[in-house]
Amino acid sequence: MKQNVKHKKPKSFPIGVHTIDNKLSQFAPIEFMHAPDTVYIAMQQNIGKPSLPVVKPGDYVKMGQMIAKASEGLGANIFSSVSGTVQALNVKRPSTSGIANHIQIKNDGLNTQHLLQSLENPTPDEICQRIFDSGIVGLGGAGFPTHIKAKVDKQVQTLIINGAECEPYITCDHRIMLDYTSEFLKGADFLAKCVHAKQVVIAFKNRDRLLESKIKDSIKQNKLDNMDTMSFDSIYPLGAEKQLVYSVTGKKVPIRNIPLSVGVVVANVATVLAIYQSVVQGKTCYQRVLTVTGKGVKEQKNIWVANGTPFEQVLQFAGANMQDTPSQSAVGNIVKLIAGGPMMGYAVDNTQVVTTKTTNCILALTAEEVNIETPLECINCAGCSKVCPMKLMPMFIHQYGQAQDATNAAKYGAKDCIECGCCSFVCPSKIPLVQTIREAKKVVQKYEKTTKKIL
Amino acid sequence: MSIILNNPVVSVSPHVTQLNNTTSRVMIDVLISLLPVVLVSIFFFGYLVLVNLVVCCVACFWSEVIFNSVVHKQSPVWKNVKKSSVFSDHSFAVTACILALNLPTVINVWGWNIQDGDSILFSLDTVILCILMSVFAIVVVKMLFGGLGRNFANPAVTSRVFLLLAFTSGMIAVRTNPFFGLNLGLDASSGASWLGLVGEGTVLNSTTSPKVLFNMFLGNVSSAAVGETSVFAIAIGYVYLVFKKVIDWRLPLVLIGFTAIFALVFGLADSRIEYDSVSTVIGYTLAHLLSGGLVFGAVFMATDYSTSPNTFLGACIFALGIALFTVLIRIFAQWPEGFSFSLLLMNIATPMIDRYIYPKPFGYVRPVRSSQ
Repeated sequence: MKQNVKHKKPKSFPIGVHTIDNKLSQFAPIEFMHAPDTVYIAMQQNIGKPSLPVVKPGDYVKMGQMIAKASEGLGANIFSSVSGTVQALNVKRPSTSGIANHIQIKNDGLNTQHLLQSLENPTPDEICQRIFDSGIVGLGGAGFPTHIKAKVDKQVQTLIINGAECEPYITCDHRIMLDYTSEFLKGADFLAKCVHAKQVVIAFKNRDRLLESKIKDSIKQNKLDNMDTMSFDSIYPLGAEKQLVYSVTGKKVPIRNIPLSVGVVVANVATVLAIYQSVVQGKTCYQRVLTVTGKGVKEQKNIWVANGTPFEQVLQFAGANMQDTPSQSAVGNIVKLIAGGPMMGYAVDNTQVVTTKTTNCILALTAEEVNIETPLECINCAGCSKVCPMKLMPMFIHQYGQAQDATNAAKYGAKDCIECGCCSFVCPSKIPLVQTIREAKKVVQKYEKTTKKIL
Repeated sequence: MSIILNNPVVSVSPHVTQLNNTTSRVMIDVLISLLPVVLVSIFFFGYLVLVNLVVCCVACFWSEVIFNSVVHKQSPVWKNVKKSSVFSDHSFAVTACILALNLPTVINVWGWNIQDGDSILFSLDTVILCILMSVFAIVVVKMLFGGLGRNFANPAVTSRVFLLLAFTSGMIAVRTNPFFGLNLGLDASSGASWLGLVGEGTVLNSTTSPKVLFNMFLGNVSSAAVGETSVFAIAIGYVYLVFKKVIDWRLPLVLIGFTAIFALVFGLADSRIEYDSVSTVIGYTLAHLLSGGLVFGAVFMATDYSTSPNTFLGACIFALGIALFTVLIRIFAQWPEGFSFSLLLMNIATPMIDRYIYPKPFGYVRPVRSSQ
């Protein structure tokens, strides 16, 4: 099967930026964190539509029991992460995308589990149904419902397990690959069966020799013949879907298309671990491994966190500085709190934001790590277009977007931006290019809507 | 016990950016790379180069400050000069340096000089023209079109072309002022430059001997502007700029390469020159590369961010145009040097190049046209 892989010596995607990795928590084994007294479970945890509650206030729910069902189309089930009593529906709380609905559940501390029946020798259809039943979404951060990805209508050549984790700071996938090696490989095997993939490639960075040998040993032990590993040099954004497909197979995914169009399915390491737990152990997707890191916490950790835990509890678990002094510059005080990684995450202003299925990192940055700059005029250095992994011209999209010129903004690629943040990262004038390109996207959408013309 | 964020910073992603990569850092890198050229120019042409440089710097700085205060109402500008954008991005200094290096030591228009015998100690003409050039470069070329990054052409080269056309006699007559320079006593003070000979059609094979070429490389020859004399010093600046990743290393080389090709082609076609061996042809081509403003312009002016195309393919076309017009002007027009004119021309063509040449997105497929 190895000859199907084009590059003999795997090469990273050639375009991108070299960020400082700052993987502070990479040597911290995955720990468990007890669920807090009250959890607030968000009703929208995936791309698509919010889920619909199926419980009433006062109901008793077990850990892992469904509390909201998937809506039609793009949707995923949502499960209680504690055993206890439902206290309220439609609790408005801050989230990474504004105020959102949450279900409030009081934890009774008993952790009574509700498990699905474990499957032995499951058929592809059974696996696909189980993925839907367990509400598994892309846990790498995008939150695309996995059961839709798993329903393939084309021949799949390669299943790529994305362990690249190219964002600085985040280490949860790295730790899953080390601490749950055989589990995630078996999960990958289940997904491969489900999509009828001919070969499976585990892609990760060659930061850690130990990791590579461990995965290879585990593949041999479990007799997973169609699996192969590929390690890449560090570059951001290696883990972006299209860029990873190109690095692994040498195939270019056509623009505005999914990897399936070239016969590839990409799944995250955390997602396949969730598939394993769901198929073998019957656990639904109600908790996940996340990294809590940054210099704002005393111990950088990788932890299993129950869905719906406020950030505050996670930060306390990791020993964040209690802010007695109201000054930003005091050493160790959190200046910026980010849900997700430093390149694509969302900054939040409130520690009451809760974790969801897609929260892979809570990043507490201090004043020394955050550099706050005022944007200057663009000097046309074209640095942004040199590092753009989609080969766009960010400075022109920025200029035409500001000028409300939809035609030219689309010409230079406003619609194809993956918002990886490379352009803003290298900009010497510190222009927030990602944000202005998002605005340009809206300009293009508005133009297309009013003129009914596709640019 | 709860964690309260005190005035947390909330901004859009990405939340980390490259440290030490700022506009002012880029400008300081360019200034550092110009340092060898400045030193060599002072070495060959004397302290008047330094006088021009200081006058240009001061004039550029104050013209930008005054323009901002008048047009953008940044007031009171005299009191918070250090806070103004002029001071923070250092771009005025880059313009001033390149402008000063693009001038001869003395421009003799009205003859208001302090002289000691034949040698000129101080030239009031030059100072006045330096100020005029600086104001023209900053106000007309740069600020009126929107300031840093918005200028349609390189301010220094536009200024130089203005000077060449307005004060032709002054520029040509006093080409060099080697009297105070510690010149090595070879060709620095002697008459017309090699390109002058090309323009007059009196190229002799002896003018491209290895010794002459080596002097051209070091800068020990007369030249129309002080900065372009030493290819060696410019090469040091080039290496620094490439090392710091300020410029694309390919553009200057492509430009020089195209010039070599055109010089070879048009040189062979030029019936006024008699070639007796292959080495003469090579010498002729090399002399084209080593003399005039070509190398200085290729490294410091053609790589100017806002006036050069943003893609490599576009930059190649840009370089092709500059090389072609430079050689054509040098050989067939009455001007001895054509680099400034051709660079200015291609500067103006840059937006058009950028309009038609842009990269296709990763995974681009040609849209299927419907059969209607």
